[in-house]
Amino acid sequence: MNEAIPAKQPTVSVGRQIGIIAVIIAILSLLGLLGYGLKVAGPTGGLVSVQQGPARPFTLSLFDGSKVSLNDLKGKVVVLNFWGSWCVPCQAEAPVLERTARAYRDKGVLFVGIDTWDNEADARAFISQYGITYANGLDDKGQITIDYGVSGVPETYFIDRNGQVVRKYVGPMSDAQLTGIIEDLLKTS
Amino acid sequence: MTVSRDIHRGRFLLSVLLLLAAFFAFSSPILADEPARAAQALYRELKCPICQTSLEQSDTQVANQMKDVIREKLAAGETHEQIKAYFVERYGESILVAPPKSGGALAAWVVPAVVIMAAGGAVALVLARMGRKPDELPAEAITAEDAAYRARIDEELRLSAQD
Repeated sequence: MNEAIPAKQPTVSVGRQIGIIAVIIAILSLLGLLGYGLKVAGPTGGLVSVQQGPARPFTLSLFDGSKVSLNDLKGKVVVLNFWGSWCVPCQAEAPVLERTARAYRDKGVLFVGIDTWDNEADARAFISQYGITYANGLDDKGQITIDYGVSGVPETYFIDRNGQVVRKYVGPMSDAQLTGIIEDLLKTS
Repeated sequence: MTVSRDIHRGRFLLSVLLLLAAFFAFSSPILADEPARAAQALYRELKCPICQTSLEQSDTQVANQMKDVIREKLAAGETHEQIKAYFVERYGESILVAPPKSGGALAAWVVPAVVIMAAGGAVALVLARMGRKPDELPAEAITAEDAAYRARIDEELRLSAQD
């Protein structure tokens, strides 16, 4: 006798539809903002992307009293390492850099250490402690450090034989990482 | 006659000289403060890359070195925008205290406003619904289908009351 009442199809009101769209827009906007934040912050360590182009020229007064100018190093692969005697990762990296600098000295690879945010006495003690023999000097006014956009130490820039910055490594490197990059540059440049 | 004219001319020249002296006396400190003000504006807009606070708030070695570079560049005649561009080119946009109002960084300005507006709209909608009485529902909310359901329920109730 009683007819079954057909189930009523659920309908979504216009207000709810607008709400759903607003929530989707808000989520997408937040994801976009998160993406922008990650892009601006950049990678925190390892081999990072670098704006390739001519290396910014500099002249550094070395601890041994001589001077080194980047313009004089054209035709060589240059490993430019920013460090500080107070920096613990730099202490771990120092023997790696020295070993590799010695190994590649006669293969057209030159290491230059730029000591930054430091004082000369501590830097000299560091060099003596780790037996560092490659060119090293104090960037006392921070001009080279700022010109290269260094935001922490150790940071290492790799400059090819044509004077172009081609790689940047943030943080301490192992023997394998350092030689890997150098070998790559020797093959390609 | 000539003496009187000379006196007038002398007074006039004296007045001009006094005015000029007053102008330079008051304006020279302002002019001298101008590079300091320009530097201070940049200290507020740029960050120390290590401590992540503005240069104005930071007294670290790197922040002080950056301040030196800013002062040198201002003294060399570089503009506010040129100096900002110099640091952005080297450190990226992360060196800016506030993101630029252009390109992808515009999202950092627009998104909070969009989210606040969306959240505000949603809250307003919910509050409006909560405070609404059933008979205040808009006419379009009661469809012909609803009316048929109501009529049927009324009929069923009437029949069950008779039984």
